[in-house]
Amino acid sequence: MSRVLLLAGTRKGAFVLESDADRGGWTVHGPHLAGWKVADLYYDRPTDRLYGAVGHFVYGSTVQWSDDLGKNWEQAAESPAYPEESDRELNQVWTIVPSPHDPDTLYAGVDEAGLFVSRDRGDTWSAVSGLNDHGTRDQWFPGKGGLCLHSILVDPDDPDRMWVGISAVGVFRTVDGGDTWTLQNDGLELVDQDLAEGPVGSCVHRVVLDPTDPERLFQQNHRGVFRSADGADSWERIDEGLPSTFGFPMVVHPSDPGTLYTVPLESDERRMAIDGRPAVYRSSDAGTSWERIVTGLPGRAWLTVLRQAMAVDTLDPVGVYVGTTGGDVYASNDAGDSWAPIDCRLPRIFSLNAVVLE
Amino acid sequence: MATVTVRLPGLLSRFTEGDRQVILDAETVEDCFDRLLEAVPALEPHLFDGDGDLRAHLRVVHNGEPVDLATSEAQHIEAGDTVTILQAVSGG
Repeated sequence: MSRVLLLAGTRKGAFVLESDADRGGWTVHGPHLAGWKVADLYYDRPTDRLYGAVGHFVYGSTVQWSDDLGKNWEQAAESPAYPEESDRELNQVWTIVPSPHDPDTLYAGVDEAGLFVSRDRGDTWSAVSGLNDHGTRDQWFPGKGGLCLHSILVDPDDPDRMWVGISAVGVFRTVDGGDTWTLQNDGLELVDQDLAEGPVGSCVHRVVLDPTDPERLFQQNHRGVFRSADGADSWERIDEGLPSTFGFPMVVHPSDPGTLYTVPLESDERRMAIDGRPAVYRSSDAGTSWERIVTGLPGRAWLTVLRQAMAVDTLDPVGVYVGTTGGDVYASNDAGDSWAPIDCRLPRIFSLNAVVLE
Repeated sequence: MATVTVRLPGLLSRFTEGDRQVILDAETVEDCFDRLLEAVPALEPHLFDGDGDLRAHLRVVHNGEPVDLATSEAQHIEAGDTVTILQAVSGG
């Protein structure tokens, strides 16, 4: 019998929400790492190891892992860090992403924006200098959430091809394993229209890859929702049918090509459910059209969903999950047709990740 | 060399199996930190920033008196002394 783990990274620790394959009732485990900010959690299936992007505004940020689903944690010997002579500060490890090609390789995106790689399952990390010292680096500037590298995508067919998203800079791509990177913002709008026209300044909020087609990417941007059909060579707007161009999270169905989900929010200034009526939007045609879904979501709530606080599992029908900054978690066990709150209220939710264990 | 007690903020006690204090032998306050990091290397990224400076929201207190770690090299400690690492607090 399958069991489903929903991993929640929050302002004050990690939570593991557990259910069976029906996903009708959930048991809440945690808080683990209580008092620490957990920006992201990644469950490594081959090793049954749970990795955490752990931080605290006083004590800095490190990579840690647990071999017992969060009860006990061990810290990397050398977490991502900028060199002492650097003028950059590593404020928070923001996300941890595995390589699909090498079980020993993990990537970490951080604030201030940078990419780090580990070749020993997370114990030691080194900077990907081709990106971190990119020729445009002195033009990078932060979004409201900071200057952070939040999205890391690895081509499932080509270990040398990757994409990263940096707010408020744009999308970078490498085709040589990370040695060199090119900015791929063609078709995107700059976050501030008063900015001088230049290569950087597109505030990508979240980038995702169609798992069935590595040429197709989607992104929720500060200035709209976009799709690329050519590996990020160019982007086209796909937010017709959405009530707002603004939002943060975006997830793709793991096996149904072209099905994706987002939660539009009201304007840059307000950043909450539009008119206080939360809705998930689903597209079944790669963003050409969108369906508004409110069944089971609260009728009146001025909630906010952050960029990594939405997840899908791999069951059939797929489960979809949304976590709010108010700590509520909404779950759908029917591919997003209907929703129900999970009986808990967590601290501010930064990230959700869903894992199905047999 | 004197045996002293180093008191840790609560959040960092998870690196010392829940102990809020570490007993160690040291000669100066600075030496005390060196010995502490030898005993518990996992504390280093949490006590010191990327420049190697004590993190901005931490303070060090030696027998109740604030200490500037940057100038504490010669500040000798005696057997039975206490060095406390304080997390800055604010609000009510």
